[in-house]
Amino acid sequence: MSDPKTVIQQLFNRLHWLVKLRWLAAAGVFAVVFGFSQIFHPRYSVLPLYAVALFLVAYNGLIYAALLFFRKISYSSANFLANFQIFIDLTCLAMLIHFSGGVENPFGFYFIFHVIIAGILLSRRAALFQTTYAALLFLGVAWSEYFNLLPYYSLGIASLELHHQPGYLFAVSFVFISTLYISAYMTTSISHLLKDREKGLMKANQQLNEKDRIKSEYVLHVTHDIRDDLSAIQTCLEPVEKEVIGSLNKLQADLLKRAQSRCEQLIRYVNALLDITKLKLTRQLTLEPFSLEIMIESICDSVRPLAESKNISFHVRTDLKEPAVKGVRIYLEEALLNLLKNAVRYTRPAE
Amino acid sequence: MKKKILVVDDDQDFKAAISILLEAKGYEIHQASSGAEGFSKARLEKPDLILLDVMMTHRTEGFDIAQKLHTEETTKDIPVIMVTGISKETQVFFKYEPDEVWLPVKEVLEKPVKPEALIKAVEKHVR
Repeated sequence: MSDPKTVIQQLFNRLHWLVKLRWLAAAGVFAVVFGFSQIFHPRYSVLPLYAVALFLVAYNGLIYAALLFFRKISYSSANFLANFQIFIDLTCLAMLIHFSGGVENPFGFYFIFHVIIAGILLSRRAALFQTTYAALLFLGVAWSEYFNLLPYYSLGIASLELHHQPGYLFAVSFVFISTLYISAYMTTSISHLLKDREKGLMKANQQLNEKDRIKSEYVLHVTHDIRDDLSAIQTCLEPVEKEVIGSLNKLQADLLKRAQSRCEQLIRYVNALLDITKLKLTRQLTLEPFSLEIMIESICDSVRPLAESKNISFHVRTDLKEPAVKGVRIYLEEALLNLLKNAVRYTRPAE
Repeated sequence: MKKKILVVDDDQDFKAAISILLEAKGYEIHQASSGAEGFSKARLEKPDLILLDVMMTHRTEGFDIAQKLHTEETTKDIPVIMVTGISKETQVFFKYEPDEVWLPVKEVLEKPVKPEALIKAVEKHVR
């Protein structure tokens, strides 16, 4: 349960969440455009809006497939994917706004929640970059339409001609952009606070696990020592109790029998405690992938000098189809090393 | 003449208990607290049986001494009984099968060993 792995998993889950939201967004665009065109019969064609919605569906499908296909993803590529998606989303939103009235369109406010999503998903710097991109898109659409650099597609509801009123444009630009930056700032602050706290918790949890493991090992050690002592006590008691070294009177025999049976009981307890502690320690082991080939090589390197000093020829041949395995590396290493060392130690040197 | 038994174990109480038990059974007991001491006493005293612990100064000392005794001309015919808590200690629950080359001993007994079992084994293997 290492730190970066969980962070990647979290980002990965959020990418899935983003894909789900985008299905809703695309459906929403279809519904709103359809409803709007049925009620208001706008002067301009709504086809470009449908086209953008279709593009959203297609590109969301691709992202979805990519997430399914690349189950294992590095942090940097997950991060890139998040940035890329937000960038495309902002562009799509700008196009939708442009083809449906520009500054007149109240859906312009939707830029704000895109910025909030960026603040949750991305690093502070990337979120700031996306916020700036959103601001530029909004300003670009508004002022290009004002200067007739881009055509103006009137919604046809209000004949306010808002896009041609510089005072209004200035006011909207100012309020809009300040709202964007403030939202981005607040979201990144909160989400970073949460991320830091999460990291702290994870670290504390790891330390606790480690401490628990050390404690278990200590218990194991002490229990072994106790059992050795009990075993000696029993060996001392038994010959007396069994009257091998002389007969006892009835009372002596009774007391000794009691002592003996308590001692046996204690040995059973201690054995149970040993078993439980060992089980606990094995449960705390984490399986990790590692290369068998590298492990075998390093083990053989440490045994080879001993073998050669005894004039035992020592060859290593591996034919591994799958050189990487998953397991507890140190245990397997210890087992193999012991086997090899004993094999060398108990093999008679060649004449 | 009394039969001689050499008890090699680093646990003083265990050694004492076994010695008293076997002395009561009429054996002459010699003691050693380490593998090296056990080996030299075996050569010197030529006992009729050796009781050997496994884990002393290092974890496999008993095995090594058993092999050394087996290869040494003056001691190779002395029967050895191994008395050990090693399988509980290492949680390896297989039986140690005595073997000419690897484990040249007559029998392996688990600690704590019952007096009857010990006496039976000693009577069976003593020269």
